[in-house]
Amino acid sequence: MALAHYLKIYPSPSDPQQVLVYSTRRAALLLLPRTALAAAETDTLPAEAAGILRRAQVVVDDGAVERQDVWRMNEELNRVSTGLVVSVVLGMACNFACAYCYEGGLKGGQAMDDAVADQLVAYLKGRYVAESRNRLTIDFYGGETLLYAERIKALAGALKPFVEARGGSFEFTVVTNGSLLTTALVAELLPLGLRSAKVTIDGPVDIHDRCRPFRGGAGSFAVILANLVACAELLRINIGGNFTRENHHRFPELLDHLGAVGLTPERLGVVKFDAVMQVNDAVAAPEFSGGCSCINEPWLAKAGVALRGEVLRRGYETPKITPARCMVEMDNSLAVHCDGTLYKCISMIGHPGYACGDLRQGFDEGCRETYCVNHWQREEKCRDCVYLPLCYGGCRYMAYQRDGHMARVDCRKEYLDATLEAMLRQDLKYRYGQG
Amino acid sequence: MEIVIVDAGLELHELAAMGDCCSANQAPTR
Repeated sequence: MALAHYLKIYPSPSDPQQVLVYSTRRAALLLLPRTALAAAETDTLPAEAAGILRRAQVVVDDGAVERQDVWRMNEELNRVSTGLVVSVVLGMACNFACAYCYEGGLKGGQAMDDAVADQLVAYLKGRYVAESRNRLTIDFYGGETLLYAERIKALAGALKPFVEARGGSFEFTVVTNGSLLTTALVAELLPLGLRSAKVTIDGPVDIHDRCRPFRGGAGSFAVILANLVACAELLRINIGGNFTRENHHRFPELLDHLGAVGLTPERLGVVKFDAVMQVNDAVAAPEFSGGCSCINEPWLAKAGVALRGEVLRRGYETPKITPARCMVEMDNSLAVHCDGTLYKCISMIGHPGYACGDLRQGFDEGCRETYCVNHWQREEKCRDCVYLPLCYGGCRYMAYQRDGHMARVDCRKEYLDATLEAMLRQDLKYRYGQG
Repeated sequence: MEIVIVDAGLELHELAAMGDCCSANQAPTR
């Protein structure tokens, strides 16, 4: 028995005789006496302690098997997954004119028509049965998703009874700008399977209204907040927000505002802020130039950790640090454009070279090569990287923005070196009330 | 030798049920 390879070990924040141990493979977090760590290193742990640490994957019986298991984790996840997870772009119309929109050049009147909707229902029913699934989850996107509320109702109305008649569960989420999220609409969508909505708010009112105005130029902050206050009792609402190097320090003002209008932690789902990406391809908003092009930019580590701390300090939920699952690697995840074209990544919609078939024919052979599945296995630096389970080569869309292709990884090592310890300490303090 | 399990982490099936990064609404800027 030996210490696992996929571990990060940091000093305990409160006790010099302890260490904080995190398994990047299992996302387990432990406080260990230094004596236990030393005993694990020398294989002299008492049996009971060894059992506890083995279950948490802090110690392993065979390091070679451990690495093989991590290398095969995505295959195992595919083996045990029982769901079918589908991202559906309903259309490209939007009532906002966000400064940084990465779909900017795609926006317009293109929308899913009845024929494509019928094909989508038939395709999903076919896969659901053929692959013996027991859960169907759809994430609806736009444009502005809720401009297509009638299409959502029709699709959910066709699929929910089908899935439930076979003993499975059906649910859907909407990614929306929030301007059309009314209580009346939510009341209609809930019985059809609506589980949650993700709404983006870019900081306090002046920043948000500058970044995310209505197409006519009017501010959207007040409309969105009023909708959220009204709907929060009915629906789980997750808040996102996109910050830049120039404005991130003002995002805590948004958190205070949410609390002041009654959107307190118990009334919201997850709150998570991310940096605006600098998108360089042909479909992005061409005039925007304030974004972040690489997760390893030094300011981003500081800003991201600080904002995460502000979120947790106020009692809001935010995602834990867990192993990464890119939809490209997951056999049961797919993205469908409103014209019926299939993709393996929602962010690649509109990029013809990454279209991988259509609803009538299914996925093309060669899709895995197009999206460079398992590309991290070819990278020397990934093979022994302790962060591999948290990353598996990072985000292909970021790599595509950097290189114009996905063959090379989007390495997260610098970012995780700079942030993981601080984020785990935040979890220890705010999420678990220790340290 | 007191070991404190702050978070037991995720079994494989729990991770499989979580969905991918993008279905967890961690997709790039929209």
